[in-house]
Amino acid sequence: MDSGERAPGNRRLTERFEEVSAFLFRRLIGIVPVVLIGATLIFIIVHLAPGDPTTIFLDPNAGANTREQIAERFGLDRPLATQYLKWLSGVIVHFDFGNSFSTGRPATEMIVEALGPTLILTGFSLIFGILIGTLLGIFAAIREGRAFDKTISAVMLFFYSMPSFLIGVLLLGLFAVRLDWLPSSQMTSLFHEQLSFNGRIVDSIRHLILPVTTLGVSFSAVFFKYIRGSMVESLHSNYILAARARGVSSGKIFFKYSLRNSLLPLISTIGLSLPMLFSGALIVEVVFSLPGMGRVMFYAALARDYPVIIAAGSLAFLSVVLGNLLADILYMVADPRIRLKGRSS
Amino acid sequence: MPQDPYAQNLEEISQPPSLAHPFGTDFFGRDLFSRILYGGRLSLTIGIVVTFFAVVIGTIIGMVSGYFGGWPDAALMRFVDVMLGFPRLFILLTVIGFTRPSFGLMLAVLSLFSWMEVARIVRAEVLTVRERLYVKSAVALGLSRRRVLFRYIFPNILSPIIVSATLMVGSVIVIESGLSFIGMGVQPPDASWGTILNQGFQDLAGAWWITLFSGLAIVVTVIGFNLVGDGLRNILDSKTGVRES
Repeated sequence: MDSGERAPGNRRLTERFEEVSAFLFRRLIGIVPVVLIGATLIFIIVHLAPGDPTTIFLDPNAGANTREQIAERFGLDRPLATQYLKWLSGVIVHFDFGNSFSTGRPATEMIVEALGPTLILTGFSLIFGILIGTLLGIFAAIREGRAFDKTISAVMLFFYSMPSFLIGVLLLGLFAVRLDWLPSSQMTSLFHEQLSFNGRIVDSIRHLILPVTTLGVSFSAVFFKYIRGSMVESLHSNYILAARARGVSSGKIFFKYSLRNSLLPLISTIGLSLPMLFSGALIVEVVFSLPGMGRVMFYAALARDYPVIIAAGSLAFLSVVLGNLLADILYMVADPRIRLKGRSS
Repeated sequence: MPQDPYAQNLEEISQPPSLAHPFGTDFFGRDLFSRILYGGRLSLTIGIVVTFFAVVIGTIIGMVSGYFGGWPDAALMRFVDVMLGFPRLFILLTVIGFTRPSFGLMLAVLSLFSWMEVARIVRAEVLTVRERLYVKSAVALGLSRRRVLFRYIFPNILSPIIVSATLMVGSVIVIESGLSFIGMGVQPPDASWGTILNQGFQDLAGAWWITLFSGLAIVVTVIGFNLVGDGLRNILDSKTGVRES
């Protein structure tokens, strides 16, 4: 891997490479049981949660007979263990999570459709958040205790304490409702298809500005807090003091000594905060009526649409586990000191 | 000055802030100031009760895991990994969305999905404290495991627990407000801050003050808990404490 290239000698490099690939292999294998357990738990929670999907399709006066027919059609009349085994074999063999109760389409198809808007939203917001949060964090740490640091820290604490959907509601109220500068909902306008190519791009960007700003500001507050904290801590440590005593220039101290050590915690922070980021994106999607995973999950939960909610939950779970693995890998690339053998648990 | 938060007055629908109604009124003519005061009871109760249960669960699991090590530790930490994989909001949507949202159910689900962070912190602390000489000498003296755990280890890992509990209250309030905001938390006519925010969102163009003041209530409260948590950390954590003095 990249970090090994600077290590002297080819032998060390190949050793490192073997070590890393063995570690990767072990971790990837380790993911399988975790994800299976997670998906099973989701299946159990969803099926044991009170409420009966058949009632959704019926008026309250319908007889028990009709209800049984519907239960039979969805396979809900069989024992839970049988349902589980059928579901599990479908997932493992065909990656088939079953058909949606409400639309009749395959659950995976509905989710793949909804994944696009969610990925666009979280992707852009993450880039926005990391850029702004890290930059401000670095400069605040350099000027620790001065007016700039105090102002920025106060502003960031404010956004850190604010639920992301609240930022969204306020931005929506100001820029979409009051000033009417930007659209308030959906990914595109109704007349999107009739626009020229450039017009369509502008239209999409205009629709993305508010949601991406909302989530981005929220993310940047989180990253700011971590980056500033770890930079300040490292700037107070002895090796920085020693570097200063040796007369190393301030710029070199900040960017070469301190920043490098502070970026490490950021990597794992991003990995570990994925579930939180995901939850934030779900509510922001509901606020801006974006046709993403948040809305699919929201309506599937309301309609007790078992196959869709189980598939969506399993996917969310998988993405979190993969995110953690990615964080571990990046961490390892960034810091060759990490001993691989001890990190499996 | 606070009035009955449920008293509707149809002659004063959607009034902007005034002397009689410092935060204005909503579209049932209810006094918003009183509603936010009463909503605070619910939001704070949820925040504190959920944190209490989450900290208790997390501390027990973390202590068992850290002190005993071996296979219980491996199993419990794997379990924590699995639990951390669930986006909390997803579980809440599933369980609460499937049934009629109820206060007790929300408390239970939030508590059951909030303890993992505490468990990790406690485990890491126990691992370091376990190696201290006073613990080793207590073990060498032949004290019972229970006594070592509760009289020697527990008091010395208390400060990180207090810090993370304080910070957790804020984050639980945020999650609760999100749930109530999308209509899956506290149900009208009861109102937490999130429920009031949802009301404001539905009339964003007409009555901005509902959104503004209920939002401010959340933010000010959460900032408060975060500041207290950070402050406690600076005082209790010897590492940063030395730096500040």
